[in-house]
Amino acid sequence: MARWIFVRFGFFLSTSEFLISGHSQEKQYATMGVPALFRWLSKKYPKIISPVIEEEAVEIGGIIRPPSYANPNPNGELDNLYLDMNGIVHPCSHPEHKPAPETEDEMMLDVFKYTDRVLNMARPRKILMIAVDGVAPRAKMNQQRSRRFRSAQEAKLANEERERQIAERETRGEQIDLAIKGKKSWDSNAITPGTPFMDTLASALRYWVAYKLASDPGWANLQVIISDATVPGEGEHKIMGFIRSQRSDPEHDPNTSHCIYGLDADLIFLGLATHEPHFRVLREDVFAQDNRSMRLKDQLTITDDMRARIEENDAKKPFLWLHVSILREYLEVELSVPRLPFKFDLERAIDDWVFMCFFVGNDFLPHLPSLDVRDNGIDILINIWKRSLPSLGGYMTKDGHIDLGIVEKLMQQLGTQEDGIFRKRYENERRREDNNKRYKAEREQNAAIRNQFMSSVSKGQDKAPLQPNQNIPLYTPGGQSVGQTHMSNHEVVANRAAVTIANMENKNVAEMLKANLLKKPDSVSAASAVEVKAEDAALPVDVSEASAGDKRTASAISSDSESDLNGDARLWQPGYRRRYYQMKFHTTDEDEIERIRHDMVKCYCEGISWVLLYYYQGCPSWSWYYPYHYAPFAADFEGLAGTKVTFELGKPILPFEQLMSVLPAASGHNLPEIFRPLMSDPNSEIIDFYPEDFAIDMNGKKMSWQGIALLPFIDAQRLLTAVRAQYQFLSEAEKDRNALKHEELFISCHNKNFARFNEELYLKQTTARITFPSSNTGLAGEVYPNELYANTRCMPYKLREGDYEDIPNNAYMRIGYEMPPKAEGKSMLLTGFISHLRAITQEDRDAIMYSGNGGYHRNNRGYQNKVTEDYKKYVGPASESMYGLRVGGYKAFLQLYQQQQQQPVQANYAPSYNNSQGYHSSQGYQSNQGYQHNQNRGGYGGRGRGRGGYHGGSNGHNGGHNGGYNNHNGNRGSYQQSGYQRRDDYRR
Amino acid sequence: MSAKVYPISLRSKDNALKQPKELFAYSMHADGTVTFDNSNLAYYYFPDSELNNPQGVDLIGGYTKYQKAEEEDPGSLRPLLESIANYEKQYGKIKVDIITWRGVMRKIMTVPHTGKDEPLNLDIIKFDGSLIIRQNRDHLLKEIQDEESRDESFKKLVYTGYKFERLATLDKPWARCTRKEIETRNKKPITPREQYCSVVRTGIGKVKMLLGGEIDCVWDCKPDPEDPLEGNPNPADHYLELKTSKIIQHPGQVKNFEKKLLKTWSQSFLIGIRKVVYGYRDDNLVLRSIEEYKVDDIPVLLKNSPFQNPQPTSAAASTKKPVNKCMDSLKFYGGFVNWLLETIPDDETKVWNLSYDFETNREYLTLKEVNGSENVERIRSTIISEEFAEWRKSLVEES
Repeated sequence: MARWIFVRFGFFLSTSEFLISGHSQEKQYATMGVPALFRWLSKKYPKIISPVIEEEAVEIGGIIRPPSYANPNPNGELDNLYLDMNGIVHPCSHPEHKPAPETEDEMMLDVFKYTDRVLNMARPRKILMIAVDGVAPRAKMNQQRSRRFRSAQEAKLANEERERQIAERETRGEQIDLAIKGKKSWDSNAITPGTPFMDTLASALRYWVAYKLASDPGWANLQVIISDATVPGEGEHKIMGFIRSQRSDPEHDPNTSHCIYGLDADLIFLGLATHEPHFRVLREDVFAQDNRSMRLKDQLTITDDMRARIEENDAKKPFLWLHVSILREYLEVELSVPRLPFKFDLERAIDDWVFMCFFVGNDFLPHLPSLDVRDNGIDILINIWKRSLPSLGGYMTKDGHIDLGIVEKLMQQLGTQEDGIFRKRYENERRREDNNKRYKAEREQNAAIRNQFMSSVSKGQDKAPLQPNQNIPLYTPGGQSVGQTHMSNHEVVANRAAVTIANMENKNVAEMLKANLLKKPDSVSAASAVEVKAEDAALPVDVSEASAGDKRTASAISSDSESDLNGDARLWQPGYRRRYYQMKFHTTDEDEIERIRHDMVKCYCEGISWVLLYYYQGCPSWSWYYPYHYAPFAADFEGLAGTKVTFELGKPILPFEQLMSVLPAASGHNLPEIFRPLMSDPNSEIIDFYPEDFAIDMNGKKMSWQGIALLPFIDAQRLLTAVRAQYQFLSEAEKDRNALKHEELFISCHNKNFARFNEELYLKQTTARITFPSSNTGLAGEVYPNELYANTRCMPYKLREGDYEDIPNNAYMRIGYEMPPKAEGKSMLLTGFISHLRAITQEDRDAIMYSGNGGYHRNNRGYQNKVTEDYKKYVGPASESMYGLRVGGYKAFLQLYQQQQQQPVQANYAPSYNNSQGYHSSQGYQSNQGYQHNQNRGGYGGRGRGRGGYHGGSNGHNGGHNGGYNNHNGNRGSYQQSGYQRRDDYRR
Repeated sequence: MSAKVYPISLRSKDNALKQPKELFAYSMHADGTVTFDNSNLAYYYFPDSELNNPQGVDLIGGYTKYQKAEEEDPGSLRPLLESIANYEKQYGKIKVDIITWRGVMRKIMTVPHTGKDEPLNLDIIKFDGSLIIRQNRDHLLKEIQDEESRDESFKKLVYTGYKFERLATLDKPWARCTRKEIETRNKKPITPREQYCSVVRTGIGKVKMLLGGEIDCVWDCKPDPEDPLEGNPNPADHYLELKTSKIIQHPGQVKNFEKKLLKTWSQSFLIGIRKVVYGYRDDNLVLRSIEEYKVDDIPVLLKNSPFQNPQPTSAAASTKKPVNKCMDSLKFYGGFVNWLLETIPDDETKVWNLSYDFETNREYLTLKEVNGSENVERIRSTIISEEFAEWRKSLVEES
């Protein structure tokens, strides 16, 4: 029977996770770790990232004038900005690198400030969409639940540690500020739809938008859509749905530029999935050095000066753009596979790439054991795809629908590699551990030497011990004593649960410690403190690869699969599949394993279909979820051809129902009182959904947050019945918080549509709804009157902090907004799309095409090489036509002729032209001058479009007339020169 | 009255075309019926990436299955007049000086520059206050017969024009088409008789005209003129003219193309089309390139072209200054049309013939009265349909 670490709320995970906020930003826990993916992308495709240029505030006559929104944007102009608001609310309400705001109202002010800064960077001219996470589909809730349970845990630990540290300092004689002392960390679980906090946020956002529309001249034409927590759907998906809806309007401008702000790496895929190529992602600079979390002890001793300094740094922290447009350029090269039996379609290849990225990590499914984003998982999958695309017979995806038969083929290929992947991973890890150990041993030696010679030098108060170290005896499994640990009091506190349990159960402490070892790779002292005089004979070591003399590695100590503490099925060893299923499902019955395996694969296929549809077409089912904590192996994917996956849409649940589904009992204060007993009363009919104890399966991982929380899956029916029974007892205000509502549109009185909307919807009330296309203002949809706006005279300022006033209703307009009706999204470029100026060079292309996997390691450390080039020129359409100039066209010919005139020394060109009299350049037609004019205008002149100009074009015109066109199977010459070298490479 | 002539070298100072404004549009169907809706409106769709196919895009596919529908009365004004009557029934009589097809006016306009290749033969009558003009039916039928007897390659060229139109358009806005419909659009049969026509009000100088012209497609969509939020748009701003031409590989071919471009400009300019898309095909009838042109830019483009010869018959020849042929055509057109209106008397019993033939009389357009009452009757009946005549008569009777 495999063993888990039983977690009580007192289990302390690691020093480095001590954060005053209780847990770091939710998104950081995503299996697609934000930094990991960003780092991978920026290394592989370096030119996609550029710094955000912010205009400086100008001081005129002693007054500091902030940069004007109406000024041209030094980063290039932008039409639409989408804010994934949770990416702003989280860092403002529980920041990591500075003390948190004192009150919720202060948090709102921080949100205003931060949002204002983001807006001034982006300066959207047409549309601003503010999307806050609403009720999520069930598939997402499982992950939300596991995160919140664990974060509540951590919050409790953080508080305990805080108390302890305060007590410690006070015994040393330090004075701790009463304000800091009394503070309890804020429960970030309040950032869930339906809580009073979200209500405050909703009205604060509306106020702020009205305020800006009324006061900032740069906002005159901006149309602001607010989709807050009362509108169901995750923020980024509401944004996706909006973009899709605008694309279905025939008047939608195909060259609309979009930018999305948010913390999630998913946003990059979202941008690609829209197939709106003028797309950027805006986010804080993840690579900037100063992103360390503020340590607890700093927080306790913070001074006003430090606070001021932090604020200042905060206001200057850099942001960056991720240009999806340039990423598309790279992908065009990366994904071009030669010798395809079907037509190459870049948009569909991109969809396949996005699909593979999702496959390796998403919020809804555990990733396959062999595919880990931190372990090159994406590259592995993509390389298989590139190699096998010709034999796959087609793309895996089509407009968000998956061809499972083709996916199976890919999985089978991956399956053959799985053994190797696990082995290699293990080897790399071993090597890393060995290096670490060696390094630590060296450090300790040096420290010991120092101690010896400098023991008289005082090291300061902090090092003065307050309590004697606790020594805990160690025994081998065989019962022999092998020494003692020297754990510092930190670790004693930390491990007290483990120690207690161990002592109580008389278990092998060495094993417990080994488990700790695995969780704290950077906890030096614990590792070095273990003196294990192992007697190899007594220990059945079954890993032959153990390096000599290193008895301390976890695997060396492991006895057999049964006593494996951290859920590690030892995938590098043969028989791992059987072991895995046996361990995870606690059974050895082959038939049952087969049945489970089969079901897991079926559900997983449903899962990947669901995820893709979620991104490309909108949520396919509000109630579907993946009912397992683990993923199958790639080799298990078989017999899928012809499988059709269908979903029942269902509908979203209400906010309180979601809260009850994701919150642990400790966060119950976010819910109306009436529900709290359901979570904590032992007699509650759904108490089994809220365990105080739950297991965490580390599943072979090292970092604590990578472990899987084994919470029971909620039975929706039971939960809903229990919760709905309480609705009659809710107050009116509470009922209102529980309602599902709709988007709202805010415009200023200068907007082109203002007059008509005002007259027909509010003043004369002649129509109930107005439908409008996007040609006027860049926004399409339907509007209807908003009751609150119609029945009030102003937008009140409700916060208790800050210096703002009520906004009169005639300074802005608030209307109900509905997007154009849902249309089936198609992964195609729209007609009229004009490409941006190409940023990658032939050298970049070669780097991708010819250096295979390791190419991106070569000469760049990613974004660390600061970009100095002005990226503004890469933003927006670069010419006036959607078509590239190609040989054969009239304008192309003129340009060619023009160029040729300027270089009369083209030996093989001149003869054909000499044949026709009167066309020689020198015949006084002032052709060059005359034409220069046009050339600069239409932009079809030398703007250096990466597709290549006509540099070698002359060769194609040998002999003039028949050129290369008569036998177009033969002479590729003319096309090569016209810059389609890349295309020709298909024929390699 | 004896024949009158008009020198093709005459230019008027008037070169401002009254901004064409669409009055209404209609769909004409293969069986000849006319419906007043957008059923035959096509939407432009041809992604740049489709041209990246190394084999190019085949424009001859489906030729063997193609059956050219017989047109019994080419150049007939019947659908135009029927649609005008329909409009007038709702909104009252349209008072203009000239009613005709845009193509007719275009032929007149470019006579000085392209008259060499295009003999002109038009029949004109005065009816109920307007000049109604159409191409002479016999002449047109002969032209068609001549075309029929030409070799296969010519017919294939004609076909490629239609094929390009088919490949470059969808019958619904992109957002409403399924992926399959878009990807299989090259399989749809070609039906040149299904047309969408726009009828615009325009004019030059003192002359007011109503012109009907076929519209190939719209660039994005046609805005609803009724919708006040659209801000009174001109649908013509969205129209697109599609053309094909042979690829240009040496200067000799440029001249031909520029002539075509001049005609295209005239054709588009007359009814207010703002954009033209040219598809270039090679000798194997494979599409190799596409280029967009803004109609407004074409005059300057032509003027500044290094391949332009100055107009041989105009005074500008000696100075070798680049001539803006488009504006020049417009000036000719302005002068001529005003002259025509002044010259043809208000006699509804007469029929006039306007002709130009480079071979027989290259300096002048000739306007003469048609003689013989059977001739007159016959020709008159080809111009005015009975229904239209009835309709206008009823209007007169009412008032």
